[in-house]
Amino acid sequence: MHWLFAVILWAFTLAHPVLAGPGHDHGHDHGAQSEIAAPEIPRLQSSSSDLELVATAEGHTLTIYLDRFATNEPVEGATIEVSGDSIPTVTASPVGEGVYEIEGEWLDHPGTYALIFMVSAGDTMDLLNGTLDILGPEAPKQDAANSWSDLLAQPMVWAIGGLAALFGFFFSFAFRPARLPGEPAASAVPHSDTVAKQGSKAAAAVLVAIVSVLAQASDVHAGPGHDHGEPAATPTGGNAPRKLPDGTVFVPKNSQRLLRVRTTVTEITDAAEGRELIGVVISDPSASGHVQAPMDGQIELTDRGIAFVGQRVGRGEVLAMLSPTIPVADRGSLQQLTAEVEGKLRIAEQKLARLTRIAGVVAQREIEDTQTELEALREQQRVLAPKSAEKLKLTAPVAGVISIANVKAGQVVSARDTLFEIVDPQRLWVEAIGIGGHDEMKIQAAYAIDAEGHSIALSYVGRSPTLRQQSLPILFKVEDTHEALAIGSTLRVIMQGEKEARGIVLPQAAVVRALNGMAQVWVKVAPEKFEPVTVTTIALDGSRVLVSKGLDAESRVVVEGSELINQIR
Amino acid sequence: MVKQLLAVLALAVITVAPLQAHEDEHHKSKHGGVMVESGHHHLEVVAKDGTLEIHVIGEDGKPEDVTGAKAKATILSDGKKVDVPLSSASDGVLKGAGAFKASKGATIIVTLSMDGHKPEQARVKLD
Repeated sequence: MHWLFAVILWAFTLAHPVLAGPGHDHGHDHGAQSEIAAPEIPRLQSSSSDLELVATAEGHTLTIYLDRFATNEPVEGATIEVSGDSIPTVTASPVGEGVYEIEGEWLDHPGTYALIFMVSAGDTMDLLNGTLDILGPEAPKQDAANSWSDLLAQPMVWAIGGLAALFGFFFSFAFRPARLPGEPAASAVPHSDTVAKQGSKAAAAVLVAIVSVLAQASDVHAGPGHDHGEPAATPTGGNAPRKLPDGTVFVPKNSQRLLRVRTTVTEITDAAEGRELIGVVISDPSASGHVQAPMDGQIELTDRGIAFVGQRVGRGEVLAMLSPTIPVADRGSLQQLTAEVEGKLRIAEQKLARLTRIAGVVAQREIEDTQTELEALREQQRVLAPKSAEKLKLTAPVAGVISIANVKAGQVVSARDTLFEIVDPQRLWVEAIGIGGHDEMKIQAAYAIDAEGHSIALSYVGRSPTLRQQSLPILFKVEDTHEALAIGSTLRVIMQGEKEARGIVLPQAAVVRALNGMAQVWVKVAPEKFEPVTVTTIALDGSRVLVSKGLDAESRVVVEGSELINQIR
Repeated sequence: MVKQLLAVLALAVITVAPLQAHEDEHHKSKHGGVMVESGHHHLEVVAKDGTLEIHVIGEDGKPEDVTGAKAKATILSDGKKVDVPLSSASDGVLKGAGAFKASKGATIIVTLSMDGHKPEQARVKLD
């Protein structure tokens, strides 16, 4: 019997593609009204080459949302005249940004209304249309009751039923028990066995027939075959944004307004292909400096205290004082020298005093020599005397902001200790790593993107001829810095070469990650329906990307609010 | 075994046969107009300055009986909106006349209520 199950299973698998048959999809024609997802709230959608209109009926109010077709921007200040058969012609009154309303008693009465919207917005005039199905409270029940009688009315069902019955008959005939020629009458037990076998085979055949009939029937009933226009009235959760079974997302107009969804019409252009590297912010070598202790000593305050981190300093400004400490040996020899000079000085003074007393006897030359010697010794004394008390000024080598200050008053530092680091935050460079040794790319332009997504223009400075970490460091100068840019922070650096790539330029924000990690964009396929499209992108300059694959020209891609649509489940 | 195979083949034939039934052959314009879909019909809109002709073709590709139909066309051309009532002229043809120009960019909306059917609409932009 296992073959029977196989056949049933097979019948079902065949039935499935039949049920999902693409048939003749009239609903989503551009420029015609399309009934997607038919939620409980009666709505109509219409679009022309300039405008897009969605109207929803609630109570006896018809709310009209008017947007630009290409950008999805709400159209303000438009005049909308609504007319239709057996409906008074009314001009809609604006109630909000691109939202208009009309009131009508006719909206309370169930029925199908063919409406015509005469829209004039600025210099754009357009006729839009749509049919609004207002269901009465009893309408859905009636639908359900109709379904079986509808089904039975289909001639196809009867034809298939007949065919299946024929096959059932054929099967039961084909699988009848074989009678052996030399076996006139079987005993009671085998006979009943054959009967049972025959019965089960017949049952199997009938089962297969039933399954195939059911499969066919549901095809005829549900198959979109040539099912023009009649909205597949499947109420699915009202006016809330949601993901539809086919992966597209239904976003009603009022939600689109809240999410500020904007689109752009794609066009294929050439753009310089970019290349992405990892960069680190460094300071401009000619705008940064260290202050080091030139000798051992003790830090002392200046008149204005000690420079601190974040202080803006000018070039040559005194940051701290250093009073040098003199090593013990040096101090001894210094003291010795001082004593010697003092002794010589005293001798010279005495000599001069003696000579001046007998000035008439000695030669004038001798007196002058002694005077000169005395002066030289006094100078020596003067140089030696304040040595221990002298302080050194520690000055800023460049103008900028102090980024590191390792200094406290009274601290004893040794020679070569780095006391201050000064950088100019307006003059920063970026060092990018990631290009191998044999790169011929001529850099035309470069951009950096920081963690917050700011795009920062860079200019090429040069590259090192020496490999570091198997790649050549490339240096860029930051052209327009901003305050959040910190030295040492990591950036994405995008370099543009001469090579051009063909594709669709989109803002970076348009491209989002799908659940499977693939890059995707959302394409507006109907006024309230968005479809995810997987794309391949090439980095351009940080704020824009080039979609090289996956997207056609003339489609409307969401450029704002894409991330939010991506969250709709 | 042969019987089982036969049975499976037979089933395959039953299941697949109806799939081949749908073919599209009635989507070409026959009168030099623009073909559009309305709810249940294919319409061919032939617009000339001042006159409008609508050929209504059913799902089977044959002209539909339009004697009991109520139809109207709304035309926006050169910034003016004109309503043109349409009346049955011959088998499957609705005709109307009004003060409009069938210039490039003119928009025509046909509202058609066939006898006993819901109203249907079709929108045509001339180019």
